[in-house]
Amino acid sequence: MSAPPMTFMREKIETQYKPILEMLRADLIPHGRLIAGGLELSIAHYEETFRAMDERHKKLGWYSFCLTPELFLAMDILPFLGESHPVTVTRAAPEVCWEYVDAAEAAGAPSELCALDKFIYGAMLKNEMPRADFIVTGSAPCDSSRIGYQMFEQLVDCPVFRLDAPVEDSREAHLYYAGEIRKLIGFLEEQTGTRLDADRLREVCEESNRATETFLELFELRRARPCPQASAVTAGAYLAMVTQLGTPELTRYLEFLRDDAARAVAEGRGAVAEERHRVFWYCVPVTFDLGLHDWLEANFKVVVLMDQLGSFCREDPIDTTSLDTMLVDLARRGLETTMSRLRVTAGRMKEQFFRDYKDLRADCVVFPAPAGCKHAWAWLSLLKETCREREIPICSFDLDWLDSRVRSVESIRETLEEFFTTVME
Amino acid sequence: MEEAVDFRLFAGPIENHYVREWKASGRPVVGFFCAHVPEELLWAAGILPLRLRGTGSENTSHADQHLGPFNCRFVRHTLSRLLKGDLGFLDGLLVTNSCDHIRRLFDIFAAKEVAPFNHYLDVPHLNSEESFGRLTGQLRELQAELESFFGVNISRDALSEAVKLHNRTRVLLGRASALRAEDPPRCTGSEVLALSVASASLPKDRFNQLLERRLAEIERTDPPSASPGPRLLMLGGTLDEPGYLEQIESMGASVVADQLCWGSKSFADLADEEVDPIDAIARRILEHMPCPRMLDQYPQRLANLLQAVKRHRVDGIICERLKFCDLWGGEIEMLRQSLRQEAGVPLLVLERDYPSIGGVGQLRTRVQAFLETLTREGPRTQ
Repeated sequence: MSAPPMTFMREKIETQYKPILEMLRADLIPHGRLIAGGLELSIAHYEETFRAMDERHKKLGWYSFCLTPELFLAMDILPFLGESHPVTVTRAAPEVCWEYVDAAEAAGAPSELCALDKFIYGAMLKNEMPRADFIVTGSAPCDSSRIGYQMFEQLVDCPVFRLDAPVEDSREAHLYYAGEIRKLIGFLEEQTGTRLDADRLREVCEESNRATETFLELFELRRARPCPQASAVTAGAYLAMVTQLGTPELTRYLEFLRDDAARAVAEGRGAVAEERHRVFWYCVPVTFDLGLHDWLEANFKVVVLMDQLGSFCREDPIDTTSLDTMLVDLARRGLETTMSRLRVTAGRMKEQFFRDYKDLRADCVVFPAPAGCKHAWAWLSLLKETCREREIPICSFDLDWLDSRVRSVESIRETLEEFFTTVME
Repeated sequence: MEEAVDFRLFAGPIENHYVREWKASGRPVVGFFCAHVPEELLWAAGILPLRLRGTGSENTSHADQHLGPFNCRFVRHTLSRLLKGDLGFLDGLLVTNSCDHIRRLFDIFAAKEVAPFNHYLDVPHLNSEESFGRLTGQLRELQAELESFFGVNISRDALSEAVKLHNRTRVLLGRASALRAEDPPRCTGSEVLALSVASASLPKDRFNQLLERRLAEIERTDPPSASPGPRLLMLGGTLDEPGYLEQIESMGASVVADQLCWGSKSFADLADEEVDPIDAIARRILEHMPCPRMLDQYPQRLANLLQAVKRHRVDGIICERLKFCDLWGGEIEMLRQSLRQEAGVPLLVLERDYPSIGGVGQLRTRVQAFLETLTREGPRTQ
């Protein structure tokens, strides 16, 4: 009898994630108490995924960037964001990423594809991606994901639904994408044999709005000098946001973080003693160096205010007046989700970048540019020019954000050290 | 009697005699990159659509400041020429979301204000009634922008005429393509690619006249008596160098069919002349020989390929891919598996730099080895 899907991950949850969770809860790891909630959500999500695969008690839908989970939740489908898995795994076990990337390349995947897609392809070959009942994917953000999902489709025998993601951010584009989501609803109804209940969707969207509003409050609190919470806390919260919007558990976790941050601000307590530099960290995190933020804080009194392409967390809430309004706002949010941002023009990205930079009261930028990302480089060159004009210090470097063999932890830390001890001194 | 035209010359420098003549008459020229661009709209506005290439670029220094190590060298060379001002005769650029490299080239082009007009056409990645509706809307917006920027009126009649003119080009190139598919072929695969590149490099009305003459010449000649070596189908993305095919054919093979961006993909399928021209243009963009950028058309791409293999009695497929092209990188992997499972057609994959001339030795060695494995009447196994 063949092993069940994701055997390795099941074991990892038991032998590594759960013991770490205990240590976090006991505050044996820096900021443990604050981070524990995020890991708890992640473990619960994986366990629910395993159960859905084993017991088939509900449909398991693998979706990609370009969507948020609310619609799936409203239809009692367990949503699994495919792109979150490489991040979750690599954070705890960077060497596993190497194994999957190697497997993908050995099977013929081009080496210059984004590591995210190579990871997923390799994990599929190793039976380490969820055995979903269906896959839902969109045409953003990049060539790598567009061709990647076509490649993934060759390895599965489940239906694949595709949405066409428009490039711009206009009302017309959102309406078009809402139409795509409407077609998705038809597909999901077919797959589940049930009709979408607009009232149930409203409930999920209202829950999602509560989480977003809480996150916005948290964002406001992080503007304080000193910043009330450590960078590692935000990074965990962000991953939870993209995978669990619409669940009460996420809302509760964000409320917990907000209340903690509010107390810290009221008491004038900062995450970093004598905070010196406030970083707007853009593009991708260094997934395989979990201690990087703590190292920056301890050595250079640097606090990272915002991680990844997090602009979507600052979006307006979903208008729950009617099914139509909800779909348009779900479209807007889906298109804004993290990497989906890359679908827009550099001009539009720049607008959001400088809005966030200013609002966060940052004083420098760190931009790790993934080697395989054909978008990031051209956009970075334009961004650097504007930063120069505005006298904003920027530290950029190439890396593979999942595969530490391309640029090592040591090399990245050296680059950052040089930046904070020369440019920022 | 007019002198015979060597179309390979038009695959050389972009700014050829006809482009200079067009500019000298005070008419605008707008550059573009992809077979998904509605050339007809530009033509109907009195603009010369000119498909851009990196031909003539000596180095990539200007582009290197902006692009990363993994951006392709077609874009790198072309952007370099644009930033250096080599293509200063351009009045604008019309870009689609063909691939990420091109998209970001556009961002830099726009930010650097290389030419006064620039437009980004969001061509959907799915072919559906909804995406058709969206694309027609996008085309109408482009029409309005062209009218306002260049101070022209694009009438429905002018657009219909442009559709007919471009269809004529496609029909003529289709005729040339059929001549190379004969057994034995009456023209070479490299010549057909040169014709296709030329079609995007000079005004279509003039091109059609020149091509009609050339086709008449070829059709007058007797077919060669000896049957040449293996019959090949050339597949891949941005290959604008007929010399590349010349190298392959010089080793005794015939490229009898292609599914290249600059080849058949640009002239396959006609726009419907009986419907609203904007609808016809949109429909053709979404439905003509699909590209790996389209999310839902791999089965159709594979079917097209297998059909062409059968129809043209192809002995082997050569797939060329520009280094760092994700779309073709993934497509090749899928094709490799499908061809192994379904057809048993020998496939040679060639990774290419741009321009390709630097890799001729390697190209010849690999193609030679591939040709040796092909037997015209033998079993299709590699």
